[in-house]
Amino acid sequence: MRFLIIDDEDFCRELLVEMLEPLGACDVAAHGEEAIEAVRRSLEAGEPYDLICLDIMMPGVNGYVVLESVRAMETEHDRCGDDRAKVIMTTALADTSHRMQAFREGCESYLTKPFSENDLLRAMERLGLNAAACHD
Amino acid sequence: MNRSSENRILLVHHDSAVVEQWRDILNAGAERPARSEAENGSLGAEAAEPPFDVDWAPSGFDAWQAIRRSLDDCRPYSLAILGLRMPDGWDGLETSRRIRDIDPRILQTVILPSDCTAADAASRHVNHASRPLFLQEPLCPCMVRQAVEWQLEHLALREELQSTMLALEYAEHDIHKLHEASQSSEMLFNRIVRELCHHVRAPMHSILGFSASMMKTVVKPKEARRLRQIHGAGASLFRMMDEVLDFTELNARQTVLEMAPLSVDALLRDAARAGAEMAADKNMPIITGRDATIPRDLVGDERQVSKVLVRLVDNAVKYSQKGVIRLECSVLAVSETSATLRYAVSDEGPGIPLHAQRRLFERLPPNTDAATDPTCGIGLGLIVCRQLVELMGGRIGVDSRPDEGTTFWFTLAFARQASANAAGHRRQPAEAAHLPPKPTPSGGTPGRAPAQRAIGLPAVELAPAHDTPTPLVE
Repeated sequence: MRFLIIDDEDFCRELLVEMLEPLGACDVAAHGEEAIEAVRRSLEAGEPYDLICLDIMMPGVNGYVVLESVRAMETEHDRCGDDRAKVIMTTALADTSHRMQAFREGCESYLTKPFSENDLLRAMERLGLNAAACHD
Repeated sequence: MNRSSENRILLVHHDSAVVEQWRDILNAGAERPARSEAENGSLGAEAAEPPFDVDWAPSGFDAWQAIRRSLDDCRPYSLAILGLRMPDGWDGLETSRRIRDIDPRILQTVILPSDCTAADAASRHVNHASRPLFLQEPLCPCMVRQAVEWQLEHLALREELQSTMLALEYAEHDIHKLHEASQSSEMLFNRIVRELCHHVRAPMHSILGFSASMMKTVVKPKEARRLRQIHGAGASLFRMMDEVLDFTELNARQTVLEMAPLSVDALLRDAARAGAEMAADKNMPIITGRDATIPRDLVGDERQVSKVLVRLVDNAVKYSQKGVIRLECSVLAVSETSATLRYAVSDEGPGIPLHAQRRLFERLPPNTDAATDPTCGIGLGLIVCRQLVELMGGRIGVDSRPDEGTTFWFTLAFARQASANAAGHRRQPAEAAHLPPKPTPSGGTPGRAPAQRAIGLPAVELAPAHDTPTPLVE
């Protein structure tokens, strides 16, 4: 599986990499522009990400904008439905309004920090990414 | 400008002889009540004072000017006594009307000649609400005096009423300002709490994440123990913050329910996992059970139900030292469109005395010794549980017997979505996010959502992730 981890905080990226590394290849992006660029390259190369972990609050391009661009680029590359990357928002924003907005923009799941490895694996499981099997 | 303190009277008549007669009546009358009060001994000192300050205006226009002057000097007249017939210019009624125009609050008495009735005079006076008092000649000094006394008394009471009402108005204004201030400070407080709770999430993620990660690799038992301690402390600290955040959100009525397909199995499993670590430390098994008849197409806010369940399991583990924790879900009622479920969390702990049971879900923390009891939280947990359950339209309660154990339960009605609709369903277009889950033509109706404030998420297995603080390692 291919993962893209987007977070402006070093330690958040590090924790996610640690959780996901056993399951596949992890790319990281420290801000929105970098993330959009990474998704574009992956789509052009025909090796799209299976899962994108996306922070919301980031300087410059925020998570919502990244999500919108990702979905737009996927449509350009004729990817829809299950062909699209699963997006889990990984954020410190706990308000319902943010959750609602994220789902409206097209994410599949929403994890509020602090979340555990198990929380992440369970969320992936529910999205049909067979993480638990690989992990154990 | 206080009229009643001075009692100025203006006599308006062209004939000075008549004015003198009126003046005598007023002065003669003034002495009698003064004397009788002196006998009572209460107002004896005032009896010597001249009771009225009496002025004379020979015509209506002079009277009008005198009234105007009195207002300019801030020494208004209390009472004007007017003759009806005056040869020059305005008669008594015309004068009375004009006086009222410049000083609406002055009291007036019009003295009518014996050949003119009060009804005649009154019929010419348009404004009945503040029309003058009419006295008819021949004047009885006693009656004149009494009329004047009554009028002055009326004036004094009116002024007293006015000042009371003014004070009341000020008080109301003060209360309003205080209320506004308390509201805005409450809003500010809530905002600060929300900000704090949000900003604490990233550092908490770091503490809990790295301590959990290190626990996997550390080999020395002593270090492992310390890491577990750090992780446990961080988790309980965060749990408290989360409770405060939930409490503030619920009280600010900002909690919005997210309706989506919900899995009872996942709820029970997650709650059991959440308590597993602490339960294992105490050697207490957590057993989950459910009715086989629970429908699989329920719609509800899984995240909020999970919060309640996790807290109840957490409490059960925290307050018992032995025995089994049972986590059960049963069906109370089921129909085509909805199902009412009862969740119960039982322990075999010491039980809760009856008098304490009542206060468990109330606003004040039931245990005021929280500061000295390390296992006790800040006491918001059950309050938040009650508020959440009630927000979702359900009931929560407790059954407990000393030394046998305690069962916390809550009932919730969930809408049902057609099973054909839920199965194999993928994400709907983004616009659908605003709408409550909809039935497809093939399915039944989802029924009314159990809560009043509900916003639907796309009707798919979105799996609202669990924000509830669960231990990172099981």
